[in-house]
Amino acid sequence: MNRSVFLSLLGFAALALAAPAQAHEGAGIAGGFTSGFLHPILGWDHVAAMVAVGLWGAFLGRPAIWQLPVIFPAVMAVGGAMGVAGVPLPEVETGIAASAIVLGLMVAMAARPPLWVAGVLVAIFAIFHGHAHGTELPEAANPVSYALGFVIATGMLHLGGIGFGLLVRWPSGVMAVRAGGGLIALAGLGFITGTL
Amino acid sequence: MRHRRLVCGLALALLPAGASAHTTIEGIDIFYSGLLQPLYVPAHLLAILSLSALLGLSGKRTALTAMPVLALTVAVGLVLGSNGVVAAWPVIVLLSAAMLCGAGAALALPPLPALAALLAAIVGITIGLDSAPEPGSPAEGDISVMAATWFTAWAVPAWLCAVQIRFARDWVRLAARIVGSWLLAAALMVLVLALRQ
Repeated sequence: MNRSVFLSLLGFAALALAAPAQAHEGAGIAGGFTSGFLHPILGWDHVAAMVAVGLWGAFLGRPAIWQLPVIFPAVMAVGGAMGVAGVPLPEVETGIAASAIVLGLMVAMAARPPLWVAGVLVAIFAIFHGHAHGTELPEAANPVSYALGFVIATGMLHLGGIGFGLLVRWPSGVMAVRAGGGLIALAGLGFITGTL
Repeated sequence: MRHRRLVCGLALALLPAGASAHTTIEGIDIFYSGLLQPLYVPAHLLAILSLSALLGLSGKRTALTAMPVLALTVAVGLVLGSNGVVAAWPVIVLLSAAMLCGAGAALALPPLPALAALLAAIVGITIGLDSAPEPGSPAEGDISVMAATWFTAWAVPAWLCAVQIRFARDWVRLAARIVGSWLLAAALMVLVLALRQ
């Protein structure tokens, strides 16, 4: 009974979440949400770092696997608030690229520091990512929709990383995940040197 | 089997409105506009979702305390709003409430019925005041429009809470905490923007 009710609810959620078709884009609520949603996704440096957070969380296991995706948006909001308020943060793009390098290396080297260390590291980088998103918030067509959009996109990138990271339950999966971390670190190097 | 029929019936009853070339509010019947009002005003939606996440995590007793408060205060707000009472800084109030609720959900605070009821009252009265039909609008004085808004403003969080409480598994609770964190983040940033402006 539980499984069928669950499936029914999933179907209901799919129906209830269907947005009305719109002939236009970029305007109003939907446009703001779309812009915000695409902002982290179209920035490869954001994508790399967000996936790395999810990967590392899955690698560290419980409770990091869910604590990191809870910590990241909350702290990112602080950075975002700084960006909105016009508080300068030096070397934002460098910080974002560095997050890909460091987090990618953590995964590649199978680093398992204490949870509070992982949390602090993730939180520091979240400030940079948030600041980058926050500086564009005042220009958004609809700030609330924009903010919801990029926060949800960030969470979904984390989920993607977690999904990939769950491969660690198999020995070959561990190698794949660590290789993924290495690629992310290399990509971060490319961002910071301007190669990518 | 009975649960499946109930869920299917609920799904059919809550199917979204037909597609249109413009935003759903524009060009549709004012009744449906009132029905969708709390979901299409971003600050209202943020507050509703955050409150739902918090109440769902807090458990049945807290939800049963706060939900009637929400329903009552939305109604009071709509009546007062239709009589010319205007909410003071509704966006800031709702975003602040959304932030607090989101933080509470992310932290998985222990059940606090009094606090939950207070937050529900703040969200309810503000949404009600902010959703009342404007003077001179086609919906002015239209009881059915206000009733539709009232229904959505409490039925949606009630449903979301019920789902969380009914399927109180670990992953559902974690998902609610993560969603709470998202909502806290969105609310905080927009609140800073609103205060700055």
